[in-house]
Amino acid sequence: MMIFTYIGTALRQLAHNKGRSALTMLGIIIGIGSVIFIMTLGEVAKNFLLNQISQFGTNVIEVGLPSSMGLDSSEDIQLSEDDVDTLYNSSLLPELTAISAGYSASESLEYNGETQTVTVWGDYPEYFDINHLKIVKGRFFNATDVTNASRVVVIDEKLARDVFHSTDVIGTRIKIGGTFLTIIGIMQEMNFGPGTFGMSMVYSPLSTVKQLYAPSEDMHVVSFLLIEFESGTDTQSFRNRLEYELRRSHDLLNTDEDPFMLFSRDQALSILDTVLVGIQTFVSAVAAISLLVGGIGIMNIMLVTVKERTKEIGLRKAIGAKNNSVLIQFLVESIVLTTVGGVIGIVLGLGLSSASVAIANMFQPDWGIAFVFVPEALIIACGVSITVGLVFGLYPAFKASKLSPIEALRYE
Amino acid sequence: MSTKTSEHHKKNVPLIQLKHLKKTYWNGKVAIPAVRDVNLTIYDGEFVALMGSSGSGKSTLLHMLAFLDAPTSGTYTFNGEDILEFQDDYLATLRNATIGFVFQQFYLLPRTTAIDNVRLALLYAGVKRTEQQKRAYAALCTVGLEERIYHRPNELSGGQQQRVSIARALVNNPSVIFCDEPTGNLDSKTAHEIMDILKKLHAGGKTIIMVTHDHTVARYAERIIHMKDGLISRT
Repeated sequence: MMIFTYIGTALRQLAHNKGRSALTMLGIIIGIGSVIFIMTLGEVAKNFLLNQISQFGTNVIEVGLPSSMGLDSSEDIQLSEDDVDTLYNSSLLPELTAISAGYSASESLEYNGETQTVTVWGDYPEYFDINHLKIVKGRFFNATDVTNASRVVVIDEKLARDVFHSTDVIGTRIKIGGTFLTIIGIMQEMNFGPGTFGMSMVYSPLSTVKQLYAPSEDMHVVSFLLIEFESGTDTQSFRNRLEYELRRSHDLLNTDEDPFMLFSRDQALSILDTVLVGIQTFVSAVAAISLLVGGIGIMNIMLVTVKERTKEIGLRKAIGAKNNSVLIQFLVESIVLTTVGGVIGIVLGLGLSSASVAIANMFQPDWGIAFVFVPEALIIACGVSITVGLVFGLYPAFKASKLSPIEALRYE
Repeated sequence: MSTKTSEHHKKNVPLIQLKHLKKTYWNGKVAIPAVRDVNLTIYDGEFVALMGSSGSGKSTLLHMLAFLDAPTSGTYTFNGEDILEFQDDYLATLRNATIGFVFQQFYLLPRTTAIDNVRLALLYAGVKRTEQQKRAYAALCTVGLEERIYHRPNELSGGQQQRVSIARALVNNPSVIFCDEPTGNLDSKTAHEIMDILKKLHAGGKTIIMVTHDHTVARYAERIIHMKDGLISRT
């Protein structure tokens, strides 16, 4: 086949003009490399975050007030354990399966003469189930602990390692905010738990936290509700009904007030997706500019090549090359140039993205970020490389094909 | 020297017939007549030398004969076919299938072996790869380069390079070989070696049309056509 001969010639030309070819291909390499890099990393991030979020259960709506989110609240409206009863008993919310109600306090933890500040999270036992948390040793607190306001606490593995240098601490009594609590369970560490913010957290029954740490006016107040519902439920509809029920029970139906902040986790996923797509689009646009500039570079160098090899073109035509043969030869050359650049870009993009994943894993070994190979990116990269070569090689190749044989031979 | 009614003509078939052939170049608005009015008949199997000083129009005439350049006016009949009506691609096919070309500057592709240079002509003829190799090797044997088929042009002497280009002209088994100052870049000893090869090819039945300004080289031809100021001055 003639095409293989052309490809052979093109590769020889490329090898002969190594420096020039490399510089010419740079735009394509950068463009394709960044497309591969960003598409791969985007997919890696999406997979990772998706895993993280779904670990906590996605059929959940979080309810808070501006004050519990750290925002100013001029309202006197507060969430309380009464709301939990209201929601459980509501005929509007048949899909509701569980509610957790959290209240947190910042207290000092003393052990072996060392002191550190921790967030004590008081909640119902449902909290662990709704968030898909797993116990490593011992047990979670239960309904009886809540009823009795038992002085028990569940800590996570990280805190166990940091403070006790061991996970073998079930039954150990630690002093939190001046009161001794008994460790009854050690649970798996949460990477992106709701409201962790990097602060160490310990978990106790809501009643215990209220009794020990809450000011008297906060006795019935909770700051945060997690509402779990059956999977397969229309989230938006459930959310609307939930909000309606909250407003109704707080006598807000005839007012403009909108104090509740509802946040559904699966909507968080779609927000995340939108952000990632936005970033990918932006980087792709930058890559497109690089490819455009690279393509113009290719056109430029192909015009130089055609000039330099005018005699060769003349000779080829003199011994029988048709216009199309010359056109195809030079098109193949520019496509080979961009394809080789594209392949280098793909290798570079894959290398950079896997290196980034490796580095991220080095700094956060327990995150377990997985590299994702994106075949679509590869197909797009190859397609784009070939297209750039074709589009920007067309004019120089056309010029070459139209040369008159004798003028080309005489060209000095 | 031979005359128009040369007894050397193997057949009485005119291979090439030119009538009132003209070629005018334009330098801006100034017309430069390169070939003014040429009438010429060349028969199959002839060895013709075109002579003349530079600017006499001999090279322009050769290029038109070899389908490389289009005349401004006049008629050119090759093998009974009127050439002026043909398109680029048909002329390319014609150049590939019926003629061979030997140039003063050899015009070999650099960094390409002798055999690949020779194969180039077969590539455009659509000959199969194995066949290309076989025929290119045979052509290189004809010019005595069987020992150097994998040498690149920069590893060959001028005479050897010209032999490669003769092999390339031969490989498609053309009926006419056009030579444009084939010995112009060679010393006289090498020039005679090259001319001996051409003479052998002519003896084998090829029509050879050669442009030269060297009288000793022109003596190899059966017929010498002199040109001056774009016209045939003497035959």
